[in-house]
Amino acid sequence: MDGTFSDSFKTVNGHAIEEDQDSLKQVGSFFPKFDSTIQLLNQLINSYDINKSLNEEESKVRAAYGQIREIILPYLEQPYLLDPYLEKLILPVIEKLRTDIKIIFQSNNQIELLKNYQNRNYLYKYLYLLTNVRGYKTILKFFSHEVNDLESTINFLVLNIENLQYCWETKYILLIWLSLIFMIPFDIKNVDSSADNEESMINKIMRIAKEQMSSAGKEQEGAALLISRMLLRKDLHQTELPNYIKWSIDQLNSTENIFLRKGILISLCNIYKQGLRDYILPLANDTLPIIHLFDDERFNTNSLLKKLLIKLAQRIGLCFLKPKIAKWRYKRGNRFLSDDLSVNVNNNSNNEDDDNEDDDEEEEEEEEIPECLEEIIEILLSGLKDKATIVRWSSAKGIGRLTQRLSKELAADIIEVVISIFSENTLTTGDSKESIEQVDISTVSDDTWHGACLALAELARRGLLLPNRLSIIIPWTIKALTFEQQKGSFSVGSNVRDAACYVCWSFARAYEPKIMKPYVNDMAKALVSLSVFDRELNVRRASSAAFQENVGRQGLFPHGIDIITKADYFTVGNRNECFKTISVDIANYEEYMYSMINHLISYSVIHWDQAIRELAAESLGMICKKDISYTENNVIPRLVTIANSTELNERHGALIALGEICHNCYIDISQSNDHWWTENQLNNIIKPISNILPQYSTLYLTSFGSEIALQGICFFITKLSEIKWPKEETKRWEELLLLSLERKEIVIQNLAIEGTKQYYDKYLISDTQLQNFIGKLDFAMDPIVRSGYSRTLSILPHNILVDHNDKIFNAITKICFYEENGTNNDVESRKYAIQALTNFTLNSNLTKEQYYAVIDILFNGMKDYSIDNRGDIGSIVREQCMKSFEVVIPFGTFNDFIDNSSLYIQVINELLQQCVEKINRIRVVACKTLIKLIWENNPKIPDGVIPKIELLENAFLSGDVDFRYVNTNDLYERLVPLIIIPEFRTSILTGLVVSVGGITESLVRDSSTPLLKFISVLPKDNMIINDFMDSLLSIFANYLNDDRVTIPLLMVLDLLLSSNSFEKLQDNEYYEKIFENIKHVIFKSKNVKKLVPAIKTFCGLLSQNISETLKHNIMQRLLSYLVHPFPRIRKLTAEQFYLALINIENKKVLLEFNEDDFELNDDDDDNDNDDFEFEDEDENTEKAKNILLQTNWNMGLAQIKPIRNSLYELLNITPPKTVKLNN
Amino acid sequence: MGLLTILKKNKLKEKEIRLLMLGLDNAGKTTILKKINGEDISTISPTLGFNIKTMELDGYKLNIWDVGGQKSIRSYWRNYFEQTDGLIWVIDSADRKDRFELCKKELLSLLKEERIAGASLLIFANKQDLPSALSKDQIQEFLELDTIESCHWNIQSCSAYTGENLVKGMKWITNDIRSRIFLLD
Ligand SMILES: Nc1nc2c(ncn2[C@@H]2O[C@H](COP(=O)(O)OP(=O)(O)O)[C@@H](O)[C@H]2O)c(=O)[nH]1
Ligand SMILES: [Mg+2]
Repeated sequence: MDGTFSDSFKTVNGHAIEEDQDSLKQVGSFFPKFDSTIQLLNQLINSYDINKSLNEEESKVRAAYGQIREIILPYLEQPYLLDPYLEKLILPVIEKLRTDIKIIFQSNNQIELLKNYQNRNYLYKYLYLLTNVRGYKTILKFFSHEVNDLESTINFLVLNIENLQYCWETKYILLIWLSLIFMIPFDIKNVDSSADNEESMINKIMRIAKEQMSSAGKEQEGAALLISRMLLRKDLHQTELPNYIKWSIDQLNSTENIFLRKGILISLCNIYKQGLRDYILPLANDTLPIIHLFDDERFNTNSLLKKLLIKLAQRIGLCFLKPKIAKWRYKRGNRFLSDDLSVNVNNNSNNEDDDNEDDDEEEEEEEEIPECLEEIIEILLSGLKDKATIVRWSSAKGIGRLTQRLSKELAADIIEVVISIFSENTLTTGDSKESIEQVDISTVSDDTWHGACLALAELARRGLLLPNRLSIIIPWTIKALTFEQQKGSFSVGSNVRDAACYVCWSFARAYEPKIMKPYVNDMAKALVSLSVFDRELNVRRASSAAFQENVGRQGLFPHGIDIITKADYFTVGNRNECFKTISVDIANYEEYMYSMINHLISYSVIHWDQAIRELAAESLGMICKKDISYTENNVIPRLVTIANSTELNERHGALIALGEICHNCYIDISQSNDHWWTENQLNNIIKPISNILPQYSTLYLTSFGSEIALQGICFFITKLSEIKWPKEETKRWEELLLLSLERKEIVIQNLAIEGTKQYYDKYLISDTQLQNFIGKLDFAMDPIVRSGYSRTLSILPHNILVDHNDKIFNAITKICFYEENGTNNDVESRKYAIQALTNFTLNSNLTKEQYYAVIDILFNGMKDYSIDNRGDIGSIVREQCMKSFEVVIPFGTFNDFIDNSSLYIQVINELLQQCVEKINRIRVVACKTLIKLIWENNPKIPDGVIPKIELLENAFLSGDVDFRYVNTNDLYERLVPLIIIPEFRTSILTGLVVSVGGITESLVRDSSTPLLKFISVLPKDNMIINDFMDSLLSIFANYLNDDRVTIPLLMVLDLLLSSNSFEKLQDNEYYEKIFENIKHVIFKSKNVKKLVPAIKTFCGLLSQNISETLKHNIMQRLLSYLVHPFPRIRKLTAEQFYLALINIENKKVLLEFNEDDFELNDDDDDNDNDDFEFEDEDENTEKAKNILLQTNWNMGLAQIKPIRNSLYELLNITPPKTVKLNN
Repeated sequence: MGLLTILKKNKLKEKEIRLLMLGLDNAGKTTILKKINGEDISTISPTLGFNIKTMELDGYKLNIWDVGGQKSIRSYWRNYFEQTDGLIWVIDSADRKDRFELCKKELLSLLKEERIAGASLLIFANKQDLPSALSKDQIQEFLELDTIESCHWNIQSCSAYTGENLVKGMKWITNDIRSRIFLLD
């Protein structure tokens, strides 16, 4: 909402207060940053000196202000914590501002001074910040109020406005400051120095304030405040106030400026709030017509304007009534503590004798009630039903305040109207509790009910609802506690429920236990259900608070304390817990159990939100178990009716609830008895329930919404199968399960599989059906269907799997593979096939041969890197394979299938590779699987099989990390060192390469850092850099034609070369091999992604310690890329080549320098030759470098070729046979 | 626009203060509450109770929560509508040595709770009418109250029987809270 109405709701920048946070944690009781705030404040103050025209850079001032703001803003939550410091935070600022204002006032060159004034605005911003956090009233107390500031301040305000200094905070602060000064009694004539022909000071300030009042910003409020305070002055009200009211009425009726309308209303509200009754009462009749603007369309479309009108109506109304508090009100009798306790021990006010008092007072209460009060109250009452919350609140408050000043009879009328709001638009049959309970609220408005609740709470709080009305009010309140209306895919009404809780809370505080006694039980039950079953957190909390307050004040709530501790502010925060644990626990109290069951059936089971229906079913199941005969007689019949309703959600909720309930009630007996039901149960429970499904129409099962229906149905069948429902009563079940099995929604398929598992476990599957299932496992079938049946087959009862082992095994294995050139290579179905195969493996007396076939399939699946528009979608197959290894390997160990331990090593290798690959999800699964396999599973991998297990232990187990949350950086730091283990080296490197050579910056950083670190410490533990190279080369060999690996590998090589990682490599044959491999990889490739790192790597190789032949060959290659069809490649080659040449030179110089230094004799004759040629070569290289650098490689190939060709000679490179030099 | 924003404002406007009364059982919490509420103190049964009483002091409305001997105050510390401003810890000054130890332990663990930071703490050294009662200074020393830094605290000797110093203590805590929550005007 708009936050510019200072008096109604404190703006908190629209957030914070309602959130669930322990605000104490955020703001301590102190102001720890006080000192630094003062420092910053001094910085603000000293950033400008009007005398010396010293002016610090504005950006610094802004920064200081920003810091202060950061410190102060958190106090929005508990602003009073600032109070002890306010004086020190405000006084120096005010002092400074006053002086400035005075100096400017006396200056001849005001405008000039103002120009320099920028920095000062930050002090005003600062003061505004404080008013925003703590409220202007409190802050204003610290402002100076001296009459002789008046003229200079007005002058300064005018100056600011006229010179368009746009800093609204400055204007606002000046306006409220002036409003303060105007509260001092002084004679205006004495202060007004304006000449006779000039505008008088009052006129001037009125004019300015009126102008500012139509602004859209905060100035408006300041101006309205100023006007109202001025006009309420003793020396002005008589002359000015009537004029102003007249002006206001004219403006409100005519102006199109919505801001002006708002400003005027604010000022009028202020006037009627602050004005002495003697001043304003005479004008009230004239002002009154304004409130009828409430129905004017220029007003009633804007909720802020409406709210102001309501407020005004209330204040005019209060002004008509003498300020007194109704004697007739219900007083709970709070005791007044005085110093001498013994004195009022006797006249303990707890013994009420209201009635007597009332009679006494009634006489002198006789007072003329102006007729217009009716108009006012009418508007307030209609405001209660407004669609804007702020209007409703204002109306409720207004009604409370006015009623407090009315006679008992009049008040009773108002209360009657408030109560009647509930029954508006309903077919209420009477005032009794039962008839209210039955009222259909679908035709009423949530706004109306919310308004009525707020009004009730306001009235109760003030003791204005006399106990005799509670018998009708409380049933309505309880009704409101469950108010909810569905509007399409959402619902309204949580605000009504919230407010109704507030009403209950207020009642607890307002009435004596003896008065509440008749209602306590109903209220307690309703509140308890709401605390644990409401969908909304705030309602659960509000309800729990209302319950708590009632227990503490009324003491009559059954098991109150116990429930308070179970369902408190904190615990009701978790909705799952509420439904699954807390409610079930509380339901042990009979007093609450049945009302809870009723609440679940009436509201939660049929809720619009599926999550609530599911929770409700679960909760209901657990609670109903506590009283089976009640459940059979009351709950089940109700649910059967609901399950046959036409509402989709209701049917779904009722079905799953019936499933849960029957399961919970009969699971125990059905375990020990296959035929557990009595004749009675068969007829009254089982048959009605069994009749539900056969009646569902096909349309319902296939059309829109059927996905929800089928979920319910599958769940229902699962639960009933589990308790061995009579076979004759399972009509249609199989059909419905198979229908669901073929649905594309995975939730349904999952539920259907659970269903078939239970179903076929209890009711045998026929051979034809089995054959039918197997037939569905074919590439010709839709992948969804394939998945559904493969999964279902795999979880059939053990004996079926054993009896049909071959057929099923073959059918499943067939669809685990990627079908070359197949059209149905759906990755998900492959995943599910592998999952099915895994289930089958564990449960079907597999042969050793079959076992190895399974293992092969898993290894094969680990190589699945299929890609589609979702990216590396093969990852879901790999993920499944890893999960399968986790169970299949121990299974093999257990059955003595594994007679060669190399299998274990191979599996570990596969997993290690995945541990360091690109996708986080996969890394997590890999790490967890590995940990399970090596250290947790039973049986474990046999001792001694895994080499260097202590290193693995260190990587995976040290520090007890949870790999789900470990950060990437840490993960790679842990795993990269495992490269040291020869058995695992190549796998880890293969995985690592795709991470290090990837394109995700953070991943590249996190993975490359440990890798470079690792290489830099080689040799270590028998591993030398050569071993590393061997491993890299073998990756090349393994993946020569696989871009997924080769591209990152090239990137890695480039990285390693450019970071000088091969410094210690002696054997330069490796470089030749790398060169050969790269040549192969990029052969005829037009893939820029590949060419770029390849060229960079070539250039990187040049500056290594390589043979002349290799150098020659590389350069030859590079030269050919200078005439590549892509200009981008040409440019890159030229640039990289150039850099490489420089690099080579630098190395040479360094080398010579070293040689001289140590006087190393080199016997190599070649060296002399080199020396000899050096000069010449040097010159040519220089030329070549220039050509590389200066040629525009974007030119056409025809132009470039000759240039390129010239390089062969300069660099002394033999052109390849394909190149003809002299063309 | 939620209810809470409005309630918060109401609370400030209506000058309400919420106090939690704690201490070992038998310390005299319920008796103190009854005494200051002007009720008959001769009929107190030591049940596990929970009682909220409202009384007025210097224009402030004190809502005092006596949660009996319950183990955890978590459930009472705050709710949707309000939270606690101050704690009153009641001690039986004539208690046995081991009970004092227990009292110290419980008080310390209470003070460790993050939520009490920012609240005011009044300690009533009750039952001063008994000859064996320790003085408030002795108690202060034994409980090492001077080490408390997490909140404002004060110890007050009193007797629920005679009513001595009860109001004085209540005044202190009200004032302390007021100076934090309501600008003294
Ligand atoms: N002598 C004496 N006894 C007290 C005083 N206050 C409470 N008691 C007694 O101590 C016992 C426990 O009091 P009670 O208020 O129930 O303690 P609670 O468990 O803290 O609520 C009761 O027998 C009281 O009569 C006191 O100031 N002086
Ligand atoms: Mg007690």
